[in-house]
Amino acid sequence: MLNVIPTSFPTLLAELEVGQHLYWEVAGLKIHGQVFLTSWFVIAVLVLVSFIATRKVERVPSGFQNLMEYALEFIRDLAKNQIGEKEYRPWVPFVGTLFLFIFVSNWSGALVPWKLIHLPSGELAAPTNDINTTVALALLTSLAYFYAGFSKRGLGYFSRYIEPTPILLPINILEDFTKPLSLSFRLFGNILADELVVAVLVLLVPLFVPLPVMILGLFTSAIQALIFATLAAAYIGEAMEGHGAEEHE
Amino acid sequence: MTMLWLLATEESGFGINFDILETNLINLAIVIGVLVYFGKKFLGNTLMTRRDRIEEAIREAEGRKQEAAAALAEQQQNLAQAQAEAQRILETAQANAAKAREAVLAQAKTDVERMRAAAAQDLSAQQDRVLKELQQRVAELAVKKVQEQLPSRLTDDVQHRLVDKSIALLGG
Repeated sequence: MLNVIPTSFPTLLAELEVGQHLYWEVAGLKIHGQVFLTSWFVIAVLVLVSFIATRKVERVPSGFQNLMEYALEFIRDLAKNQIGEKEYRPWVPFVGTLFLFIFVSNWSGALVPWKLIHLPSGELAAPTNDINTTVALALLTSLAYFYAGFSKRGLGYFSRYIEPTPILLPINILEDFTKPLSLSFRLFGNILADELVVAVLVLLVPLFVPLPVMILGLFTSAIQALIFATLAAAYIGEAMEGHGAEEHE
Repeated sequence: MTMLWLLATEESGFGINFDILETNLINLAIVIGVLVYFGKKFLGNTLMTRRDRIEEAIREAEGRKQEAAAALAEQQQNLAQAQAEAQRILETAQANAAKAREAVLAQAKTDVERMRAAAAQDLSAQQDRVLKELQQRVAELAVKKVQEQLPSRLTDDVQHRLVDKSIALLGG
Protein backbone atom coordinates (compact mmCIF):
# COMPACT_ATOMS: atom_id res chain seq x y z
CA MET A 1 0.00 0.00 0.00
CA LEU A 2 1.88 3.00 1.25
CA ASN A 3 5.50 3.09 1.96
CA VAL A 4 6.10 6.54 3.27
CA ILE A 5 9.78 6.05 3.49
CA PRO A 6 11.05 3.51 1.03
CA THR A 7 12.87 0.55 2.40
CA SER A 8 15.78 1.51 0.24
CA PHE A 9 16.25 4.48 2.53
CA PRO A 10 19.70 4.25 4.08
CA THR A 11 19.31 2.26 7.23
CA LEU A 12 21.13 4.79 9.29
CA LEU A 13 18.13 6.12 11.16
CA ALA A 14 15.21 3.83 11.24
CA GLU A 15 12.35 2.64 9.17
CA LEU A 16 8.76 3.74 9.05
CA GLU A 17 6.26 1.29 7.71
CA VAL A 18 2.69 1.83 6.69
CA GLY A 19 0.60 -0.84 5.12
CA GLN A 20 2.59 -3.65 6.66
CA HIS A 21 0.48 -5.94 8.70
CA LEU A 22 0.80 -8.91 10.94
CA TYR A 23 -1.34 -11.29 8.96
CA TRP A 24 -3.24 -14.08 10.59
CA GLU A 25 -5.02 -16.71 8.55
CA VAL A 26 -8.42 -17.51 9.95
CA ALA A 27 -10.74 -19.70 7.90
CA GLY A 28 -9.09 -18.62 4.69
CA LEU A 29 -9.29 -14.93 5.61
CA LYS A 30 -6.25 -12.82 6.07
CA ILE A 31 -6.79 -10.65 9.09
CA HIS A 32 -4.69 -7.92 10.56
CA GLY A 33 -3.38 -9.38 13.79
CA GLN A 34 -1.97 -6.20 15.27
CA VAL A 35 -5.39 -4.53 15.07
CA PHE A 36 -6.92 -7.44 16.91
CA LEU A 37 -4.27 -7.32 19.59
CA THR A 38 -4.79 -3.65 20.31
CA SER A 39 -8.57 -3.99 20.01
CA TRP A 40 -8.48 -6.71 22.61
CA PHE A 41 -6.38 -4.47 24.77
CA VAL A 42 -8.91 -1.64 24.41
CA ILE A 43 -11.82 -3.97 25.07
CA ALA A 44 -10.04 -5.35 28.12
CA VAL A 45 -9.40 -1.85 29.42
CA LEU A 46 -13.04 -0.88 28.97
CA VAL A 47 -14.34 -4.05 30.57
CA LEU A 48 -11.91 -3.76 33.43
CA VAL A 49 -12.74 -0.12 34.06
CA SER A 50 -16.48 -0.85 33.92
CA PHE A 51 -15.97 -3.75 36.29
CA ILE A 52 -13.95 -1.68 38.75
CA ALA A 53 -16.44 1.16 38.54
CA THR A 54 -19.44 -1.04 39.28
CA ARG A 55 -17.81 -3.44 41.70
CA LYS A 56 -18.71 -1.52 44.80
CA VAL A 57 -21.55 0.80 43.88
CA GLU A 58 -21.92 3.55 46.40
CA ARG A 59 -24.72 5.96 46.91
CA VAL A 60 -22.41 8.95 46.79
CA PRO A 61 -20.08 8.03 43.96
CA SER A 62 -16.37 8.40 44.44
CA GLY A 63 -13.30 7.53 42.46
CA PHE A 64 -13.84 5.33 39.44
CA GLN A 65 -17.55 5.09 39.88
CA ASN A 66 -17.79 8.86 39.85
CA LEU A 67 -15.63 9.08 36.73
CA MET A 68 -17.62 6.48 34.86
CA GLU A 69 -20.91 8.01 35.90
CA TYR A 70 -19.60 11.28 34.58
CA ALA A 71 -18.73 9.59 31.28
CA LEU A 72 -22.15 7.99 31.15
CA GLU A 73 -23.83 11.31 31.80
CA PHE A 74 -21.77 12.85 29.02
CA ILE A 75 -22.76 10.13 26.55
CA ARG A 76 -26.37 10.28 27.62
CA ASP A 77 -26.50 14.01 27.08
CA LEU A 78 -24.88 13.56 23.70
CA ALA A 79 -27.45 10.97 22.65
CA LYS A 80 -30.27 13.06 24.09
CA ASN A 81 -29.19 16.12 22.19
CA GLN A 82 -28.95 14.30 18.88
CA ILE A 83 -31.81 11.80 19.06
CA GLY A 84 -34.25 13.67 21.23
CA GLU A 85 -35.68 13.24 24.68
CA LYS A 86 -38.28 10.73 23.61
CA GLU A 87 -36.29 8.12 21.74
CA TYR A 88 -32.74 8.47 22.95
CA ARG A 89 -32.76 5.94 25.78
CA PRO A 90 -32.40 2.66 23.82
CA TRP A 91 -29.56 4.16 21.79
CA VAL A 92 -27.34 5.21 24.68
CA PRO A 93 -25.52 1.85 24.79
CA PHE A 94 -24.75 1.92 21.08
CA VAL A 95 -23.60 5.51 20.98
CA GLY A 96 -21.73 5.07 24.23
CA THR A 97 -19.94 1.98 22.96
CA LEU A 98 -18.92 3.81 19.81
CA PHE A 99 -17.64 6.78 21.73
CA LEU A 100 -15.80 4.86 24.41
CA PHE A 101 -14.27 2.35 22.05
CA ILE A 102 -13.06 4.99 19.62
CA PHE A 103 -11.90 7.29 22.36
CA VAL A 104 -9.94 4.65 24.23
CA SER A 105 -8.58 3.30 20.94
CA ASN A 106 -7.37 6.71 19.85
CA TRP A 107 -5.83 7.56 23.17
CA SER A 108 -4.25 4.16 23.52
CA GLY A 109 -2.61 4.79 20.17
CA ALA A 110 -1.40 8.16 21.38
CA LEU A 111 -0.38 7.30 24.93
CA VAL A 112 0.62 3.64 25.17
CA PRO A 113 4.18 2.97 24.08
CA TRP A 114 3.17 0.20 21.71
CA LYS A 115 6.51 0.25 19.98
CA LEU A 116 8.08 -1.41 22.97
CA ILE A 117 6.56 -4.58 21.63
CA HIS A 118 8.10 -5.70 18.44
CA LEU A 119 6.01 -7.73 16.02
CA PRO A 120 7.25 -9.98 13.22
CA SER A 121 5.57 -7.64 10.79
CA GLY A 122 3.73 -4.36 11.10
CA GLU A 123 3.47 -2.57 14.39
CA LEU A 124 0.94 -2.07 17.12
CA ALA A 125 -1.08 1.12 16.98
CA ALA A 126 -4.56 2.39 17.66
CA PRO A 127 -7.22 0.02 16.22
CA THR A 128 -8.85 3.02 14.55
CA ASN A 129 -5.63 3.47 12.61
CA ASP A 130 -6.80 0.58 10.40
CA ILE A 131 -9.47 1.27 7.79
CA ASN A 132 -11.15 -2.08 8.53
CA THR A 133 -11.98 -1.04 12.06
CA THR A 134 -13.44 2.28 11.09
CA VAL A 135 -15.41 0.79 8.19
CA ALA A 136 -16.82 -1.81 10.53
CA LEU A 137 -17.88 0.88 12.99
CA ALA A 138 -19.38 3.00 10.20
CA LEU A 139 -21.31 0.06 8.74
CA LEU A 140 -22.63 -0.76 12.19
CA THR A 141 -23.83 2.81 12.37
CA SER A 142 -25.55 2.43 8.99
CA LEU A 143 -27.26 -0.74 10.15
CA ALA A 144 -28.25 1.00 13.35
CA TYR A 145 -29.91 3.92 11.66
CA PHE A 146 -31.68 1.72 9.13
CA TYR A 147 -32.95 -0.40 11.98
CA ALA A 148 -33.99 2.69 13.93
CA GLY A 149 -35.84 4.11 10.93
CA PHE A 150 -37.66 0.91 10.02
CA SER A 151 -38.58 -0.01 13.56
CA LYS A 152 -39.92 3.48 14.17
CA ARG A 153 -41.64 4.32 10.92
CA GLY A 154 -42.04 0.99 9.11
CA LEU A 155 -42.19 1.29 5.36
CA GLY A 156 -42.88 4.97 5.78
CA TYR A 157 -39.16 5.21 6.24
CA PHE A 158 -38.79 5.17 2.44
CA SER A 159 -40.74 8.38 2.18
CA ARG A 160 -37.69 10.23 3.37
CA TYR A 161 -35.98 9.44 0.07
CA ILE A 162 -38.43 11.67 -1.79
CA GLU A 163 -38.38 14.47 0.71
CA PRO A 164 -38.46 17.38 0.34
CA THR A 165 -38.89 16.71 -3.39
CA PRO A 166 -38.66 13.53 -5.51
CA ILE A 167 -36.00 15.20 -7.62
CA LEU A 168 -33.58 14.66 -4.76
CA LEU A 169 -34.13 10.89 -4.82
CA PRO A 170 -30.69 10.04 -6.27
CA ILE A 171 -28.95 12.31 -3.82
CA ASN A 172 -30.88 10.88 -0.92
CA ILE A 173 -29.95 7.37 -1.99
CA LEU A 174 -26.37 8.45 -2.43
CA GLU A 175 -26.41 9.75 1.11
CA ASP A 176 -26.76 6.24 2.46
CA PHE A 177 -23.45 5.41 0.83
CA THR A 178 -21.63 8.60 1.64
CA LYS A 179 -22.51 8.48 5.31
CA PRO A 180 -20.52 5.36 6.22
CA LEU A 181 -17.85 6.35 3.75
CA SER A 182 -17.29 9.75 5.27
CA LEU A 183 -17.57 8.42 8.81
CA SER A 184 -14.99 5.72 8.31
CA PHE A 185 -12.55 7.78 6.24
CA ARG A 186 -12.71 10.76 8.55
CA LEU A 187 -11.80 8.71 11.59
CA PHE A 188 -9.25 6.55 9.80
CA GLY A 189 -7.61 9.51 8.08
CA ASN A 190 -7.34 11.63 11.18
CA ILE A 191 -5.89 8.93 13.37
CA LEU A 192 -3.53 7.58 10.75
CA ALA A 193 -2.35 11.05 9.83
CA ASP A 194 -1.79 11.95 13.43
CA GLU A 195 0.22 8.83 14.12
CA LEU A 196 2.19 9.26 10.92
CA VAL A 197 3.07 12.83 11.72
CA VAL A 198 4.21 11.83 15.17
CA ALA A 199 6.17 8.89 13.80
CA VAL A 200 7.88 11.00 11.13
CA LEU A 201 8.78 13.69 13.62
CA VAL A 202 10.10 11.10 16.02
CA LEU A 203 12.24 9.75 13.22
CA LEU A 204 13.61 13.15 12.37
CA VAL A 205 13.96 14.70 15.81
CA PRO A 206 13.43 12.08 18.49
CA LEU A 207 13.19 14.42 21.46
CA PHE A 208 10.76 17.17 22.43
CA VAL A 209 9.90 18.38 18.93
CA PRO A 210 7.04 15.85 18.50
CA LEU A 211 5.51 16.94 21.79
CA PRO A 212 3.17 19.67 20.46
CA VAL A 213 1.98 17.37 17.70
CA MET A 214 1.41 14.59 20.19
CA ILE A 215 -0.66 16.82 22.41
CA LEU A 216 -2.54 18.08 19.39
CA GLY A 217 -3.01 14.42 18.49
CA LEU A 218 -4.60 13.74 21.86
CA PHE A 219 -6.94 16.62 21.23
CA THR A 220 -7.92 15.52 17.71
CA SER A 221 -8.30 11.93 18.89
CA ALA A 222 -10.81 12.95 21.48
CA ILE A 223 -12.58 15.23 19.01
CA GLN A 224 -12.77 12.44 16.42
CA ALA A 225 -14.34 10.08 18.91
CA LEU A 226 -16.83 12.76 19.82
CA ILE A 227 -17.57 13.52 16.16
CA PHE A 228 -18.09 9.88 15.28
CA ALA A 229 -20.45 9.29 18.20
CA THR A 230 -22.31 12.54 17.60
CA LEU A 231 -22.77 11.86 13.90
CA ALA A 232 -23.91 8.30 14.54
CA ALA A 233 -26.47 9.57 17.02
CA ALA A 234 -27.52 12.31 14.62
CA TYR A 235 -28.05 9.81 11.78
CA ILE A 236 -30.12 7.60 14.07
CA GLY A 237 -32.17 10.53 15.22
CA GLU A 238 -32.66 11.75 11.67
CA ALA A 239 -33.77 8.31 10.50
CA MET A 240 -36.39 8.20 13.22
CA GLU A 241 -37.66 11.71 12.78
CA GLY A 242 -37.86 11.97 9.04
CA HIS A 243 -37.12 15.08 7.05
CA GLY A 244 -38.97 17.87 8.71
CA ALA A 245 -42.15 15.88 9.00
CA GLU A 246 -42.34 16.84 12.62
CA GLU A 247 -40.93 19.99 14.02
CA HIS A 248 -38.80 19.22 16.96
CA GLU A 249 -37.59 22.53 18.34
CA MET B 1 21.64 2.00 18.71
CA THR B 2 22.30 0.56 15.27
CA MET B 3 22.77 -2.83 16.73
CA LEU B 4 19.54 -2.62 18.61
CA TRP B 5 17.74 -1.50 15.54
CA LEU B 6 19.17 -4.37 13.55
CA LEU B 7 18.01 -6.68 16.24
CA ALA B 8 14.57 -5.19 16.00
CA THR B 9 14.21 -5.48 12.26
CA GLU B 10 15.85 -8.79 11.73
CA GLU B 11 14.02 -10.48 14.47
CA SER B 12 11.20 -12.44 12.96
CA GLY B 13 9.11 -13.23 16.03
CA PHE B 14 7.64 -11.21 18.84
CA GLY B 15 10.08 -9.29 20.93
CA ILE B 16 10.67 -6.23 22.95
CA ASN B 17 12.28 -3.16 21.53
CA PHE B 18 14.35 -1.35 24.10
CA ASP B 19 15.42 1.51 21.89
CA ILE B 20 14.33 4.48 23.97
CA LEU B 21 14.50 6.99 21.15
CA GLU B 22 12.81 4.85 18.55
CA THR B 23 9.99 3.84 20.85
CA ASN B 24 9.41 7.47 21.68
CA LEU B 25 9.41 6.65 25.37
CA ILE B 26 10.61 10.03 26.62
CA ASN B 27 8.06 12.01 24.70
CA LEU B 28 5.29 9.65 25.72
CA ALA B 29 6.34 9.93 29.33
CA ILE B 30 6.26 13.71 29.09
CA VAL B 31 2.87 13.70 27.39
CA ILE B 32 1.45 11.30 29.93
CA GLY B 33 2.95 13.39 32.72
CA VAL B 34 1.41 16.58 31.35
CA LEU B 35 -1.88 14.84 30.82
CA VAL B 36 -1.93 13.40 34.31
CA TYR B 37 -0.89 16.70 35.85
CA PHE B 38 -3.49 18.87 34.12
CA GLY B 39 -6.08 16.16 33.70
CA LYS B 40 -5.97 15.36 37.38
CA LYS B 41 -6.59 18.96 38.30
CA PHE B 42 -9.41 19.42 35.83
CA LEU B 43 -10.99 16.03 36.32
CA GLY B 44 -10.51 16.19 40.05
CA ASN B 45 -12.35 19.47 40.20
CA THR B 46 -15.12 18.28 37.91
CA LEU B 47 -15.57 15.05 39.77
CA MET B 48 -15.42 16.78 43.12
CA THR B 49 -18.14 19.25 42.18
CA ARG B 50 -20.20 16.41 40.75
CA ARG B 51 -19.78 14.44 43.94
CA ASP B 52 -20.67 17.46 46.03
CA ARG B 53 -23.73 18.09 43.92
CA ILE B 54 -24.89 14.51 44.30
CA GLU B 55 -24.21 14.61 48.01
CA GLU B 56 -26.17 17.81 48.27
CA ALA B 57 -29.05 16.35 46.29
CA ILE B 58 -29.10 13.23 48.42
CA ARG B 59 -28.98 15.27 51.59
CA GLU B 60 -31.82 17.41 50.38
CA ALA B 61 -33.84 14.40 49.41
CA GLU B 62 -33.17 12.81 52.77
CA GLY B 63 -34.14 16.00 54.53
CA ARG B 64 -37.35 16.08 52.57
CA LYS B 65 -37.94 12.46 53.40
CA GLN B 66 -37.45 13.15 57.09
CA GLU B 67 -39.75 16.13 56.90
CA ALA B 68 -42.34 14.02 55.21
CA ALA B 69 -41.92 11.31 57.82
CA ALA B 70 -42.28 13.87 60.60
CA ALA B 71 -45.36 15.30 58.94
CA LEU B 72 -46.75 11.80 58.56
CA ALA B 73 -46.12 11.07 62.23
CA GLU B 74 -47.74 14.35 63.20
CA GLN B 75 -50.74 13.71 61.06
CA GLN B 76 -51.01 10.19 62.41
CA GLN B 77 -50.93 11.62 65.90
CA ASN B 78 -53.61 14.06 64.88
CA LEU B 79 -55.61 11.20 63.49
CA ALA B 80 -55.25 9.24 66.71
CA GLN B 81 -56.26 12.32 68.68
CA ALA B 82 -59.23 12.86 66.46
CA GLN B 83 -60.21 9.23 66.83
CA ALA B 84 -59.90 9.48 70.60
CA GLU B 85 -61.96 12.66 70.48
CA ALA B 86 -64.55 10.90 68.36
CA GLN B 87 -64.60 8.03 70.81
CA ARG B 88 -65.04 10.42 73.69
CA ILE B 89 -67.81 12.28 71.93
CA LEU B 90 -69.50 9.00 71.17
CA GLU B 91 -69.28 7.92 74.78
CA THR B 92 -70.64 11.18 76.14
CA ALA B 93 -73.35 11.06 73.55
CA GLN B 94 -74.28 7.58 74.65
CA ALA B 95 -74.22 8.62 78.29
CA ASN B 96 -76.37 11.63 77.45
CA ALA B 97 -78.74 9.45 75.54
CA ALA B 98 -79.05 7.06 78.46
CA LYS B 99 -79.62 9.95 80.85
CA ALA B 100 -82.20 11.46 78.56
CA ARG B 101 -83.87 8.10 78.27
CA GLU B 102 -84.04 7.80 82.03
CA ALA B 103 -85.37 11.31 82.35
CA VAL B 104 -87.98 10.79 79.69
CA LEU B 105 -89.06 7.51 81.23
CA ALA B 106 -89.31 9.05 84.70
CA GLN B 107 -91.23 11.99 83.31
CA ALA B 108 -93.57 9.65 81.50
CA LYS B 109 -94.10 7.66 84.64
CA THR B 110 -94.97 10.71 86.71
CA ASP B 111 -97.21 11.91 83.90
CA VAL B 112 -98.99 8.62 83.87
CA GLU B 113 -99.40 8.78 87.65
CA ARG B 114 -100.67 12.28 87.50
CA MET B 115 -103.08 11.51 84.72
CA ARG B 116 -104.26 8.43 86.51
CA ALA B 117 -104.87 10.47 89.67
CA ALA B 118 -106.67 13.14 87.69
CA ALA B 119 -108.80 10.53 86.03
CA ALA B 120 -109.69 8.96 89.35
CA GLN B 121 -110.60 12.33 90.80
CA ASP B 122 -112.66 13.10 87.80
CA LEU B 123 -114.43 9.81 88.09
CA SER B 124 -115.36 10.29 91.76
CA ALA B 125 -116.55 13.82 91.09
CA GLN B 126 -118.78 12.55 88.33
CA GLN B 127 -120.04 9.85 90.57
CA ASP B 128 -120.86 12.37 93.24
CA ARG B 129 -122.62 14.59 90.79
CA VAL B 130 -124.58 11.73 89.31
CA LEU B 131 -125.54 10.54 92.76
CA LYS B 132 -126.57 14.01 93.78
CA GLU B 133 -128.70 14.39 90.68
CA LEU B 134 -130.18 11.02 91.28
CA GLN B 135 -131.06 11.92 94.86
CA GLN B 136 -132.58 15.18 93.76
CA ARG B 137 -134.59 13.46 91.11
CA VAL B 138 -135.76 10.81 93.47
CA ALA B 139 -136.71 13.48 95.97
CA GLU B 140 -138.56 15.46 93.34
CA LEU B 141 -140.41 12.37 92.18
CA ALA B 142 -141.29 11.49 95.70
CA VAL B 143 -142.58 15.00 96.44
CA LYS B 144 -144.54 14.95 93.23
CA LYS B 145 -146.09 11.61 94.09
CA VAL B 146 -146.89 12.88 97.52
CA GLN B 147 -148.54 15.97 96.09
CA GLU B 148 -150.54 13.79 93.78
CA GLN B 149 -151.66 11.41 96.44
CA LEU B 150 -151.97 13.80 99.36
CA PRO B 151 -155.31 15.43 98.48
CA SER B 152 -156.98 12.04 98.16
CA ARG B 153 -155.60 10.64 101.39
CA LEU B 154 -155.58 13.75 103.56
CA THR B 155 -159.21 13.81 104.64
CA ASP B 156 -160.62 16.07 107.27
CA ASP B 157 -160.72 13.30 109.74
CA VAL B 158 -157.08 12.58 109.30
CA GLN B 159 -156.38 16.28 109.48
CA HIS B 160 -158.13 16.59 112.76
CA ARG B 161 -156.33 13.65 114.20
CA LEU B 162 -153.08 14.99 113.09
CA VAL B 163 -153.73 18.45 114.48
CA ASP B 164 -154.88 16.94 117.72
CA LYS B 165 -151.83 14.75 117.92
CA SER B 166 -149.63 17.78 117.29
CA ILE B 167 -151.44 19.80 119.94
CA ALA B 168 -151.04 16.95 122.31
CA LEU B 169 -147.42 16.83 121.58
CA LEU B 170 -147.08 20.56 122.17
CA GLY B 171 -149.07 20.45 125.29
CA GLY B 172 -147.15 17.42 126.51
